Amino acid sequence: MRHLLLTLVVLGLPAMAVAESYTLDPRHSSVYFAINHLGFTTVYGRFDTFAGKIAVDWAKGTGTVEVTVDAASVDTNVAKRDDHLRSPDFLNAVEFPKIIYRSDALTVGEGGAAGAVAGQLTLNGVTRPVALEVSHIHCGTNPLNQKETCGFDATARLIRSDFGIKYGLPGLGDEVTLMFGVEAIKE
Amino acid sequence: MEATMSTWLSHPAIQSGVAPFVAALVVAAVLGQARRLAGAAAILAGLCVTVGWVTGFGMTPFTSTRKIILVALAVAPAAVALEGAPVAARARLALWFGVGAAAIVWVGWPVLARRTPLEAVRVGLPLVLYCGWVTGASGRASGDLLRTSSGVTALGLATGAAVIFGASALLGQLALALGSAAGGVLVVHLVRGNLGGAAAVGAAAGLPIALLGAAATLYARMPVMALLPLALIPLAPLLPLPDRLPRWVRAATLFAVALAPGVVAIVLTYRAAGPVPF
Repeated sequence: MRHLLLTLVVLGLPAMAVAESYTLDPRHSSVYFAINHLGFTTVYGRFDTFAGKIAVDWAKGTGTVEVTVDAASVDTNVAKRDDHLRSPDFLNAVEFPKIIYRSDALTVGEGGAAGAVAGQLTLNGVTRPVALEVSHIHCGTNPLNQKETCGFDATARLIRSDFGIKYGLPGLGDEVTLMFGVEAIKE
Repeated sequence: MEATMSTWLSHPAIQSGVAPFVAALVVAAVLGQARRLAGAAAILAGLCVTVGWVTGFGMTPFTSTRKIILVALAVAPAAVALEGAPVAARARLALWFGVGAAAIVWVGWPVLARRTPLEAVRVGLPLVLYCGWVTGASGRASGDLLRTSSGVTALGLATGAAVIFGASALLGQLALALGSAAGGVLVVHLVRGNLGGAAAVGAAAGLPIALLGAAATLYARMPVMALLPLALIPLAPLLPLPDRLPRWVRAATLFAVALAPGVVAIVLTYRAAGPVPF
C-alpha cells in the first residue's frame, strides 16, 4: 500500500509541475508590422513600447503568451504619418491605447519547434482569432548575463477591416503582417 | 477606363466633396415641396453617401466616430420634428445647447473616464461649451435658410480642413461631407427660393460638425484653441445685410464672413500639427 502511494505521487509530479514565467525583455525584443502601400511597395513600421509574459510548462510542453503593445508608440520614421496612424483612421490609439495578443495554446516541442499558435488579437477594441506562426523557440542560459532566457520569432497575418480599420481601403492593403522577435527572461 | 473611374471614385474630394454635394442637391430638389423636411433630409443624404463610402454603417467596434455618425443619423429627424413645434427661440437654443453638450460627453467618454475628475473637467469643459454653443446657435430658429445654410457650409468646410491637418482624414472627411451637403441645400434654395426648415438644417449639420471638431482635439492632433475661431462661425449669419442685395450676393457674403474665422482655425491647426501627413 505504501509503495502504491509513493508510485502515485512520483507519477503525479510532472502533471503538478509549475509553469515557469518569463518576462519580455524590451531591449532584445521587437514588434514590427508591414502593409502594402497603394500596390507600389511594402511599408514597414514598428511599435516602440510593449510588454509581455511567457509561461511554459516544460513537463506538458505547453505554454501561454501575452504581449501588450502601446498603440501610440507606432513609429514609421515619419512623425506626421505616425500621428495619422494613431488617429481614429487607423489605430485609434487614444480610445484604444493597447493592442493585445494572447495565446494559451503555445506548444513547445522537441528542439523548440512550435508551428502555428492559436491566439486572440485585440486591436481597435475588437478581439479576433489570429494565428501566430512561430519559426522557432529557443530557451537556455544567456552566456552574457547567465540568466535563463527564452526567445521566439513569430509572424501573424491579420485583415485590418476585420478589426473595423477600413480607412484607405483598397489602396492601402487590408492585410497587415505583424512580426514579433521576442526574448524573455525567467522570473 | 475602369481603373480611372475607380481612382476617381476613391479620391477623398469626390467622396466627401462632390458626392455629398450632389446627393444633397438631388434630395433637396426632389423633396423641395416638403419645405420643412427637405433641407435636413438632404444633409442626411449627403452624409450617408460619404459614410457608406469611407467607413460603412457597421457599428462594430462602437468607436467614438461611430457614435458621432449615430448622433447625426438621429438628430436630423429630431430636428425636423422640433422645427414645427411651438418652442421659443431662446428655449430652442437652450435645448440644442444641452443636446450638443450631452453628445460630446458621450462621444468623449472613453477618454474622459480615464482621467481624474478634475482633469476630465479641464479637458471636457471647453468641448462641452463648444458643442453646446455651436449646436444651439446653429439650431435656433432664424427662419432664414439662406443665412443658416451659408453658415453651416462654412462651418463644415473649415472644420473638415482643420481636422484633416489635425491628422484625421476620416473625421475631416465627415465634416467636409456635412459642409458640402449644406452647400447643396444652399444652392437649391438659391435657385428655387422655396425651401424652409432653417433650424432643422442648422441642427442636423451643426451638431455632428461640432462633435467632429471636438473629437479631433481628443482623438487626433487638432488643438483646442482652434475651436475658438470655429465657435465664431455661427455668429456670421447674424450679419445685417440689405435686403435689396441679390440672394446669391448675400449668400456669398455670409459664406465668406463665416469662413474667415474658419481659416484662422485651419492656420492654428496647421501650426500645431504640421502639413497633411498623407
